[in-house]
Amino acid sequence: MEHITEEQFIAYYQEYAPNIFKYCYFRVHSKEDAEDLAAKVFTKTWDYLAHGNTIDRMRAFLYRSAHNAIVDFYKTSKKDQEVSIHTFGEDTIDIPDDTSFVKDAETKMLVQNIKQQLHELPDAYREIIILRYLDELSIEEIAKVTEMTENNVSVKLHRAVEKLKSIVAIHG
Amino acid sequence: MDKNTLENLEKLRKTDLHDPEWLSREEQKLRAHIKNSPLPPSRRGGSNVPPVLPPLPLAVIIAALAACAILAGVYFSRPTNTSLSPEPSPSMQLKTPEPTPFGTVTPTPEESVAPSPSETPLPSSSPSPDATSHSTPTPVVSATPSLIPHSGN
Repeated sequence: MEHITEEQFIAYYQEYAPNIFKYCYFRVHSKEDAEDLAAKVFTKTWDYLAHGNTIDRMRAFLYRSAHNAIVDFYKTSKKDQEVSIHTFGEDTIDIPDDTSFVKDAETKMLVQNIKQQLHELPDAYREIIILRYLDELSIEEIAKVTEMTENNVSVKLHRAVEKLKSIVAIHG
Repeated sequence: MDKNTLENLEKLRKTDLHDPEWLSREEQKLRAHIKNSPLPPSRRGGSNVPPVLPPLPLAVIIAALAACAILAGVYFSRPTNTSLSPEPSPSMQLKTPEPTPFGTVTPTPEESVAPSPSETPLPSSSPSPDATSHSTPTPVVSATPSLIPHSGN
C-alpha cells in the first residue's frame, strides 16, 4: 500500500488532469462542465486521502471518481445527453458544438468527427470506447471504473465496436 | 472498427484538448485545498513516523482492568444511609413509657389486655326464688374484729 505525499499527489494531477478532462468532455460535451468535473475529481480524491484512506491504483481511482461525478452530473443536470439506440435515424440529433476552445483547425475537425460518432452510441458503449481507445485503460481498469466484471467489459466493448462500425459505415 | 476511426482516436489520444491556463489555475487551487486538509500523521509517506503512543504490555492492561473491577465492587458494596428505607409499621414500634406528673408509667400486660366493662357480666346480688335445696346459704361474715382473746396470755 503506497503512502502518498502532497507533492506526489500534485504530480498525479499534472499527469492525469488532461486525460480526466478529455474523458469528461466526451461524456458531457461541454468544456466548462468538463473542467468543473475534472477539478472536482482531484479535490474529492484528496479529501478521500485526508480521511486516512489509501489508494492502491491512482489512475483507476481517478477515472472511477470521474465516472461517479458524471453520473451525478446527469442526475442533477437538466440537459439530456443520452441518445437512445431506438432514436437512431429517426430524429435529427443536435450535438452541442462546444469545440470553439480548440485552436487547431485540424484538431477541431477531428474532435467534431469523433463527437459525431460517439454521440450516437448509448452512454455505456460510449464510455467503454473512450476508456479503451482514448485513455488506453486495460480491461481490468475499465472493470474497476465501471464496476463490471472483466468478462462483461469485454463483451460490451465488442458490441460497442460493432455498433460504432455500423455508425461509421452509414455516415461514410 | 473502421481504420479511419481508429486513427482518429489514436490522434485524439495524443492531442491535449485542455486549456493550459485552466490546468495551472486549478493546480493552485488544489495546492491551497491540500494545505487546508493535510494528511493524517500516520498516512504521510516518505518518513518513518513513530506511533503516538507505545503499545502497552498485556499484563499492564489486565492489571488496570482488575483494579477497576475491585474499585467498582468496593464502591457499590458500601452501606448507604439513605432516606429511602421504609418507615417501620406501627405494630413494630416499641411501646414508649407514657410521661405522667408522677413519673413514667409503663403499660403492664394486664392493663393492656383488660377487658372492657361491657364484656364482663355482673354477678347477681340475691339468689333467685326458684333456687333448689342444694343451694347452701352463704355464711355471713361479721365485719367487726373478733373478741376472742389470744391463747398466748
